[in-house]
Amino acid sequence: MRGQKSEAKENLSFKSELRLQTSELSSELRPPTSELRIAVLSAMAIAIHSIESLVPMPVPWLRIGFSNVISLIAFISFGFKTAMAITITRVFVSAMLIGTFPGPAFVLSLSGGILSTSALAMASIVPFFGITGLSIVSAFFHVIGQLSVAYYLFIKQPEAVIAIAPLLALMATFTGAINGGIAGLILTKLRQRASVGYRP
Amino acid sequence: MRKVLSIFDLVLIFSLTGGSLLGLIYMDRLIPGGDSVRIEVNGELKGIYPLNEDRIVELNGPLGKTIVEIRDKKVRVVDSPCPNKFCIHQGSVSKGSIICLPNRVVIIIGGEQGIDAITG
Repeated sequence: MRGQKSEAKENLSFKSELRLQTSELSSELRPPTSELRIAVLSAMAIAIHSIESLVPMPVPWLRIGFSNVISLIAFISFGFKTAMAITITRVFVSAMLIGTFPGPAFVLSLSGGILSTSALAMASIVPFFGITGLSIVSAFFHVIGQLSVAYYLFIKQPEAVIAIAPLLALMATFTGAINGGIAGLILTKLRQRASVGYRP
Repeated sequence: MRKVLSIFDLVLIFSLTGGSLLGLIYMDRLIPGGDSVRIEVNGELKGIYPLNEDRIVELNGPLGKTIVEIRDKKVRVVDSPCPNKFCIHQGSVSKGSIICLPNRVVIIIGGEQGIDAITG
């Protein structure tokens, strides 16, 4: 019966035929839609971010930002829209969970996240960047976004912003490198598993 | 798939690190030094002390007592009632400033001993 259907609709594009077959399958076997991907990856990013925020640090704003690993993997595997959706969802929900929702930390986090994901998209046009390089660029723009918003909305003194800029840039390159390395290793492992066939 | 680490990435890392370090050194040179220690609590000037005289200054802020020590041409906060103790963690400072935001203490090192005006 399925054979008859395919014969009759041979002229369908691959995507439409895939969707047709998809709708015939039961729900457990349906391949992931982008909404499902965004939801699951956002949940992971939120969990990572929330746990990371519990780690005590001498300076509160100094975080390695491991949730950016999720955004980076999502960007490379699934594209810009998915990655941006994950970033925005992660910022909103973790701000609500941690309790800083409409406050300055949330605004800074959102601006940094949006700018960093956009920078990822623009930097990925350059073929010279490796995954680590992309992560460093996105971390750098994350810091730039946060500093700019902090300057325009909160601090108003250029001296203070310029004074901390070098230190933040230094931290951004290191944390960007760390996140990029982790994301790259994960992606390499996933690719190995995909080619070999995953055996749990 | 892209490489995990390309040569361009390493170039990027080193140049950004070098640039930031240069920026840090430049910032350090920009901070004004001086030989007077100016202490304000809650906006009010409590006193201007010479940096080369060892001294312990006690300041009463809204949260309690902050103890500042001037010794060996450096200033440090010995004790403070603030929750995070950032001011104490800064250690001894020979130029620049130390600020304890919760207890409203502002310590600025700079300027010559002869000052133009004192307000408050």
